[in-house]
Amino acid sequence: MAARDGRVLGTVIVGAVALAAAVAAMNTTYRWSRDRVAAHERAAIVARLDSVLDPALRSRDVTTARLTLDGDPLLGGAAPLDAFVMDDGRGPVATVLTVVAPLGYNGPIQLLVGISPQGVVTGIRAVRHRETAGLGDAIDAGKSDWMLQFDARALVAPEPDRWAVRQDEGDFDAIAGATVTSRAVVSAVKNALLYFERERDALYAAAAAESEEDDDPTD
Amino acid sequence: MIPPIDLPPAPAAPLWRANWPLVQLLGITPALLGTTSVVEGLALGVLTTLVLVAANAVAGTLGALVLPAARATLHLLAAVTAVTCLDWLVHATLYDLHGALGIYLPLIVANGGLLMEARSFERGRALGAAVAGALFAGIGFTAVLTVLGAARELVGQGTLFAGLELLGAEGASWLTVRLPFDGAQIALAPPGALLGLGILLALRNRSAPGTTTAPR
Repeated sequence: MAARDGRVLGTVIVGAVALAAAVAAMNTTYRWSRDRVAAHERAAIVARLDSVLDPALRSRDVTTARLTLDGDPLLGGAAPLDAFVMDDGRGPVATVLTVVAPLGYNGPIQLLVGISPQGVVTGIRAVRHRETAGLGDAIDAGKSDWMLQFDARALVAPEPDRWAVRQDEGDFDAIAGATVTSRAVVSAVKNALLYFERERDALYAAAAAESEEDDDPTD
Repeated sequence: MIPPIDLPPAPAAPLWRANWPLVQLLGITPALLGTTSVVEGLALGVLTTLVLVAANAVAGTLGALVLPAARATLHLLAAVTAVTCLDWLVHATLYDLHGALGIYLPLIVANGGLLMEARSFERGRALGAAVAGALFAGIGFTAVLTVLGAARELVGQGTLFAGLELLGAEGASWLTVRLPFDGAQIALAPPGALLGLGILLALRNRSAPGTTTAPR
């Protein structure tokens, strides 16, 4: 009986020590990883931002202000969305809106829309979607060049009522076999440009205020 | 009452004769869903091996000090800790690989092979044999995942060794083979995984008939 009591005590002690060691190991690993993961996440966003900007901006020194916009029908929904305004020190040089195309074939499609100060599209990328593999997933820049047809387009080129796929009398090619997906994206990009036209000055003012806040040394 | 589980006859048995996915049909979920490429299969296999070696080392060391009933718990505690730490470490160092593996990295802890190893400690196991057994089981598991990943990647998207940069080996991307065809989507979808595993099982049964069930 004494031997068994000894084993029970040993089990309790070893168990407690093992548990403490496990907590310490996880705690240390978490502390070590946390900042590195956050840095990767920031870099992942920045990497995606670059893909929708005018390539000429990549070599220039710009500061990026991050804004959180209230939901708006033109942005595709009621949930707040991120927006980024790039400034080269003399004024805003680019804006990136994250927008949602609510009517994708398999649910909402999230897009990054790069827009120049003149309202010209500098790039569109799908960042999150569940479109059908082999058909609608042609909106991924790695899978086809379909998204590139928006580059250099604006609300005057074509006229707003020509912002549609060819099947709907518009100027844009649809992805073969994925007309619903194509319609959703064309309409989301058009709406993003309409939003930008309406809100540009407010966006730039908010970005300027944001940058000033960041410069405050007491912050 | 769970029936007692017999130990594999030798530490090296799970390398092939008692291979997890091909013979004991364990670890099937990661094998089926987490292996659409060589890189993913290899990474998942190596990470599982690390977890298993760590857990077996802890259970082999401390197992003799505790009651038999507590040994499996000790093994699981070590495995859970190892998986949690590895998940964060991979997230911090190989960020894109973490994204590619997704849920299958934390799911390593629910691997049937791992759970069977935990129970095998209830009857006591020497440290050396336990660590050796973990290595062999891990290598056998990694080999199957890698072969399955290679087959699915080749048929599914016409490439081999794509995404080596996920492993932090940018310089090795010249190894990537690209065949002049886009691949058959089915190989990357879950049915393709079942087909692939079925073919591997059939090949394995042909080479060693009559040993499909867990060894006694």
